[in-house]
Amino acid sequence: MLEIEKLTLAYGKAPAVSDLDLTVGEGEAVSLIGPNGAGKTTTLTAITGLIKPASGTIRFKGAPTGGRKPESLVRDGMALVPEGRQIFSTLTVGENLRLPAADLSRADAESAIQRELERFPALASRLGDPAGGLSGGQQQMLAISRALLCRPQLLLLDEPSLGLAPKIVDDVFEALEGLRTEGVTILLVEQNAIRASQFADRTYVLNAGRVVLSGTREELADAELLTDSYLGAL
Amino acid sequence: MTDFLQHVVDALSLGSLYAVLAIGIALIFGIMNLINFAYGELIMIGAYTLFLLDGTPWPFQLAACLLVTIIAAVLMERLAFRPFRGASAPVLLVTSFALSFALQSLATVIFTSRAKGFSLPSWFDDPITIGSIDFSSLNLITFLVMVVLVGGLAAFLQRSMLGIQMRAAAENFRTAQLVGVRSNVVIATAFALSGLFAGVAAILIVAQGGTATPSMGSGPVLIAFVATIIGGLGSLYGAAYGGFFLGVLTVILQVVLPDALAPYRDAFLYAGVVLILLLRPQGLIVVKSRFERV
Amino acid sequence: MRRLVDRLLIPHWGLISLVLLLVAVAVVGSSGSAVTQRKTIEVLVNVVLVVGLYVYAGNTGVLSFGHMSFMAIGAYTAAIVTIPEIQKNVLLPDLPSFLSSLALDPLPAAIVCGLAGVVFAVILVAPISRLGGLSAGLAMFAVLVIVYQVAINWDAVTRGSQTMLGVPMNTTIFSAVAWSIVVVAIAWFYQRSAAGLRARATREDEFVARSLGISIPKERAIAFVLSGFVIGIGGFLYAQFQGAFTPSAFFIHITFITIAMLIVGGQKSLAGAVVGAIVISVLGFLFGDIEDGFNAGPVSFAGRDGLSDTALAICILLVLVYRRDGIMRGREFEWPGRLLSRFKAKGN
Repeated sequence: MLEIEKLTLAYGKAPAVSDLDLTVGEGEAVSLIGPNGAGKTTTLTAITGLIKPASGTIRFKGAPTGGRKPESLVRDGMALVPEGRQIFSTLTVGENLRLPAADLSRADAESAIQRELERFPALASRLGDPAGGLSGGQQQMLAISRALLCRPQLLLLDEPSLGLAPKIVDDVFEALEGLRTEGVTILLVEQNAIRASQFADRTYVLNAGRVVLSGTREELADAELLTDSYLGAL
Repeated sequence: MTDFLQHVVDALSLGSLYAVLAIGIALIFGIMNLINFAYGELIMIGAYTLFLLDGTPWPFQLAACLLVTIIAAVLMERLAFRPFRGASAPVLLVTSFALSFALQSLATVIFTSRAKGFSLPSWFDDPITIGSIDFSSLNLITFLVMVVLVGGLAAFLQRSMLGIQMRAAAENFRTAQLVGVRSNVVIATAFALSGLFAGVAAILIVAQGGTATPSMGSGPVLIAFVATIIGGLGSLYGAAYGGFFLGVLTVILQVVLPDALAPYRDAFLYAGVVLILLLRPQGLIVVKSRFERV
Repeated sequence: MRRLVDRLLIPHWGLISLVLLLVAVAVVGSSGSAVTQRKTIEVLVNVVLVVGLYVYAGNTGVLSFGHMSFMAIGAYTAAIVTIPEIQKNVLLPDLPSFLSSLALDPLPAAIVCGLAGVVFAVILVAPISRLGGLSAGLAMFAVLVIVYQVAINWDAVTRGSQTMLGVPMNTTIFSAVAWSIVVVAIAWFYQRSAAGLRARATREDEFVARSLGISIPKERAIAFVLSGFVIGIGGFLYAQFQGAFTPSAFFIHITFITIAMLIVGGQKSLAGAVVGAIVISVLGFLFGDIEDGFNAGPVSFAGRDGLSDTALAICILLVLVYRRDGIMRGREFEWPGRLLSRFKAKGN
């Protein structure tokens, strides 16, 4: 579904990501973890087409993404739940949900939104409220629903657990489990290394822009291995 | 008393015109962080269209003016501003300055700098007397037009899918792209609307003065620029209030200043602007993000 | 010798290269016709104005739309203090007597005009340095309008909308290039001083700057007053170059042109200010010549009014499309050896 080869990203002259190789197979859940500043968000930004790589290729569904606009990649089946949720706070919850469904027919949009409201009942009662008034957890649900309404084949999530209480984080990962069962391909960027590596089928550890460790859920169950890679001992 | 009512009428009328001017600029600023100085030239283009069609039936004349300014605005975006998407604020500023300059100079080449006179249908500027107040039908038309335009814009932004997309883009352009909002469509729409407002402004301005000159857009665009900033950058309502406020303040100064100081009217107006900026640097309407809900 | 090169030449090459550039402009210009010589002075005066704008806008990041009000202050002060007494009594009969009898030589007059700019800046500095971004730019524009209006109406001091005449035309290529070198040096040493560096810190990231204990209003204030001084001198040079002017010389057109010069050259560097001023001025002259029409063998072209402005504006747009951060990209001129070794290092 997603193939990244030798990706190098830079802000001006400072490299943020160097020589990254990463793949996500169809139906897989892959996580990308690492300390702050490791380049995880930058990688997602490049995948969605918001920034151009300095070198390397990104292939989505077999075709290179170079030069394509974000909106075209979205229409092709890629959706992002951005860092910090970034819901449209001056729009209502309902309007936030209708946005991604813009090119669907009225009836299709209604039923798709209905499905999301069943997934997250908390949103249903606040359809007409400005989205800025929701709690952090509810905003996260809204952001996920908003991304799902783009009918993605590949769902990208940027630090969904950031700033949320542990109970809410449980809810979020429960929702992600549900998505995995539905067959959605997931690429999860997280700082919460343990949860992410336990959830995902495979995990890459990024540090200072380079992959220092990668493995399956079982391989990374060794907590010490993870910590070492995080702290740069690897 | 009648004098006072007269002044109120003047203030409402000028305020309405300035509000229309300000919204035209704020529409684009909200989405793209670009202050389009060439907006003044859109007004000029509208005025020259009216001039060139002088003598044709007025519905056709007015409709053509609006059509031309809308198309000119969309072309302006496509040809002149698209290469600069994402540039820094000063670069965008100089770009729009340069574009404005280029269009003014081009108009001078084509039409020369002599004013072109023409006339709009007489009912535009008919004297009306209600009670003991004399005013012109133009005052009434200006006010009604402003109400219709603002109401129509609000309805569009609230009800239509495109309007929701524009509000989303105005709040957070990147994230809007990530949910599939087509940036080109949204930006072109903003420019088209801005063109519409410019065309209307052209008609209202010409109805008063009856001439077209290459530099006629400079004054209005400056007013719009100032109004947008004191109203609160990016807020459409702020721009409208800012424009209205400037119009009212102008009339007040005109009335209140003694004859000796009358030539300094603009100086006082801008001194007032500085005062507002100092007291409320974020503008009259504090805005969390761009286009607000109704 | 080696030490001289390392300690003086290389670190200050940015300044030295600009001085050499200005001298080159002066030398080339002075070998031309009388018309060319006048154009050369105009280029150099523009350099002074844009450098003044840069001292504020480049270091604080606040683009001011009204700095040419300082030019007006400088020019009218020049008129008041240098026009010989007899003429002044005719032109400005209502001046107080101590001003009427004042007729300074160019050098002290220039300083006086610079100081007039400083005084004006000090009056404005408290409110202006508190504002940032577009608000500050707009507030300065308001100041520009106010100054313009006052100039148009204050007949006793400015002759109102009538032309101010009779300013002794003492600005030569020599004095223009000398002053341009002086202001470039002032700008150079300011931006490398502690104050200049602090100002640039506020330009880059206000939040971080404040957390370092930098007072944003104070740093802006220093840059503001310094820029007032420089542009005041620019106004003086302009006044003694043209000999006559009206308030509209310090209003919208010059504001647009100087801002364009700065942005096209690159807002963030002194070299940008100088190069931008030179390039746009020269382009303006070239197009102006074309506008007047020419005969080139079988091809003859009758110019039309407005063509040169159109061409200039289009040029500005073209430069910005290809070089968004300006011609100099916000960098100063670097010693070639340094440049070479950095280039080699990059290759590794």
